[in-house]
Amino acid sequence: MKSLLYLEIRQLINAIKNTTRSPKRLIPALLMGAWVGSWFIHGILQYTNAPGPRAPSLSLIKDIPISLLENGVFLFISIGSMIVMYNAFSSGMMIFSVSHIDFLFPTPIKRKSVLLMKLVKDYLKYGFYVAFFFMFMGIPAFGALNVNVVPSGFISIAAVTALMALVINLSHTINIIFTFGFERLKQAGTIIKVIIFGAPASAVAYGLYDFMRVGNAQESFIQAMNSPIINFVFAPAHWCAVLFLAPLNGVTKIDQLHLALLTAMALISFIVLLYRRENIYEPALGVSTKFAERRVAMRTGDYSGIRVNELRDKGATHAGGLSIPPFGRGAVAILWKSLLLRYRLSTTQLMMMIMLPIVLIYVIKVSLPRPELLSYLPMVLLYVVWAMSMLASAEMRSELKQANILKSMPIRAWKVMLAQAVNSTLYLTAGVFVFSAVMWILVPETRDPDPNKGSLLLACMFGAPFLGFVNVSASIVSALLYPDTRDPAQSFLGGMVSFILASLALIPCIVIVLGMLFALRSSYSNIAISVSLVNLIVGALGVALAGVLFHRFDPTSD
Amino acid sequence: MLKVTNLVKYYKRFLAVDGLSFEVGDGEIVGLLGPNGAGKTTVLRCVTGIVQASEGAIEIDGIDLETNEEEVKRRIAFVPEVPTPYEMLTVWEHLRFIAMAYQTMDGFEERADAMLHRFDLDEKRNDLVLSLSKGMKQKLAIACAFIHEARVILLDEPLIGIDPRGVHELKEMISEAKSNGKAILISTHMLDTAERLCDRIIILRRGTILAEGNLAELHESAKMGKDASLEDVFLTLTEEGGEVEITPLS
Repeated sequence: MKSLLYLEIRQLINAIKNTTRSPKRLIPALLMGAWVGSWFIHGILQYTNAPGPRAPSLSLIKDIPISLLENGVFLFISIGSMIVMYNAFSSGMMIFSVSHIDFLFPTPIKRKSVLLMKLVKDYLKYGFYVAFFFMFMGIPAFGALNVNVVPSGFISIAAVTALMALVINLSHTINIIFTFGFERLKQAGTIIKVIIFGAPASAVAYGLYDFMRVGNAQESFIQAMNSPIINFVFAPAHWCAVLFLAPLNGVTKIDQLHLALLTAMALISFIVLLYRRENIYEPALGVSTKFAERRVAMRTGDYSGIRVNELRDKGATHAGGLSIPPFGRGAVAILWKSLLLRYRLSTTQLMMMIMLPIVLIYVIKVSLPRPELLSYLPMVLLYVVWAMSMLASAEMRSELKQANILKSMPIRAWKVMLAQAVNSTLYLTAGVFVFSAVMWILVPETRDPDPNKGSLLLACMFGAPFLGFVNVSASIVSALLYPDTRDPAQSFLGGMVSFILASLALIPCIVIVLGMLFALRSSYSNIAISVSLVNLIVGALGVALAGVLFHRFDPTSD
Repeated sequence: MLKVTNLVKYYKRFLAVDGLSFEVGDGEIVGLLGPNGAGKTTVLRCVTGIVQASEGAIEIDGIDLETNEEEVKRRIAFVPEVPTPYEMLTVWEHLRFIAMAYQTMDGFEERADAMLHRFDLDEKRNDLVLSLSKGMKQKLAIACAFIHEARVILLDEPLIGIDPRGVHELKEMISEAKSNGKAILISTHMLDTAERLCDRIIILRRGTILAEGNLAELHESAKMGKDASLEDVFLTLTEEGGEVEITPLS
């Protein structure tokens, strides 16, 4: 235990020292601290009833009946618990670092001590996350209802933390038992899964029956959530939901008893888990390695890496589906490779490219307070392109993993960068066309051209890809400037620079659009052509700069 | 002495190791060879207690891993393949943590100093591990394995990524450990190193022993002349569908 404490304390001290030594790490840490601090002060102000910021959007909560709110919270908690428990049969959540696997697991330190340290750290982490979430969401939400969160907010935090600990302990135990008794306990596993999914299925049936009888959806939902089976199987989640809303409801004697029961259950499940005889290292092995790979991919913004991991988990071995036939030589072949990989790795994104415009445009259409503004809806295309093009920096970072291969090819650096920019721009263009088509179908106001200025939809559809090209090249430049996002400081600065460069690239467009629209009263098509020409030139300059940076880029990691 | 008897390891339905038995005597170096997925790393993980054997027994100096895990682990040193040391510890702190974990703090300072010197890590002593190159991390992992007085040393691909001087030092240390009567089990793909370093070779395929013995005995198993290299023997023995006479277990 002494050596484990030494390990934890030394790592913590060194992490703090390492952050304070470098301004690159210290500044983002301070900014983050200031942000969290401001929310904390906000909470204190609310406690003292002093005037402080309120979240006006959350005032909508006022109109929701408390019983509905309670059942909504219950639904959220029970679905989360259900997913965690179900996954425990196949994949564990006992995640250790790879360093632990390599250097701690083989040591003679008792497994129980290692597990104890791990669980205590996890509980502290859950408590912190719950408190953090409560500070961000709970305080403004309860504030909108003019409800003070102190001291009953602590009960909410304690209840959610206890439930989380209980669910996680149970899922660890299930995973350990089923890892070693996979064949022997197959039947028992099936029965537990049936119970986990049977209860909600019965609630749905109960709710539907009630709805058909009474015809009140809200009432039927509450009835379903309070059906006898649900009340029995998900009792802890029910208590937790009620306790979570303690600032609203107050705390009765029964609630206190429920909190004590939740804590006792968490404690008992902890002791049961701690005294399991099986080797807890084994179930932790696979999931920890997988998690470590995923965390590295997340930190580096390497979404391709994440997708590759997902495909590997699913056991994908064949490409399957449609393919892009090979074309081109030199840089054009790189373009083909990038288009193909992106298509193969981003099936969900491609589906989103079709679904998102439909949902987004429909929502805008029904919620826009002034319908006459609908004819200007095509301008949304420009915003979408601007926002989406910033993802290009993540793609570039992912591509930089293969920088050794790309740099050794007999292709000039700027051409490699051009292929990268064109790849992202082509996907953005496809998105723009889908958006435009959906707009044309769903919003008739966008179809009719302005008698003096022409079609705004066509102009935006033509201009948006060029704007995308500029922003993509800006994002690529930022990725090359800050390629290593394993370092949080580089990640933070990279994101900032990407945003600043993409915004700067907008300035010439804004000047030209405003000038031509109001001073020269030009048609939309003339404005689109002029702006696109400027964007093409700025984008090409961006690609040239990216080429210089890529030429100088040192892919050595060792 | 390390003794593995009838080791079976299932990962759920997948059989990774199938009834493996072998011994590594005191002062003996045994090489564990086999194609990818043969079960070499699983065997080492079972011996170190990182994964639990489904069946069979693992003993070190007559002490059973199942019943006396801590005592067995105290006698083992393990160098993992592509080690990932704790990045937020300094090199010195890392060695100290390992010594504390194995409860071998007596004379730690001298041993650690000597180890850092042997692996050219003196100057990195107070640097965080995150600043080390891959090769240096590998050297640190080896230093960690030798910082406590283990009876059995398990090395999983220990020579990958280390500079020639580091390789030389490691070979020296392995030879010294052998002369000090330690049992050494090395899993490797480097056949020439295995040929020169190991007293005995175990060749695995799909979790079973395909052949076992010194080079002469392996020549016999592969029905090859004595001039054949270990590489020739290995390729012949591990060829899928090849006619191989399985050597009886010793």
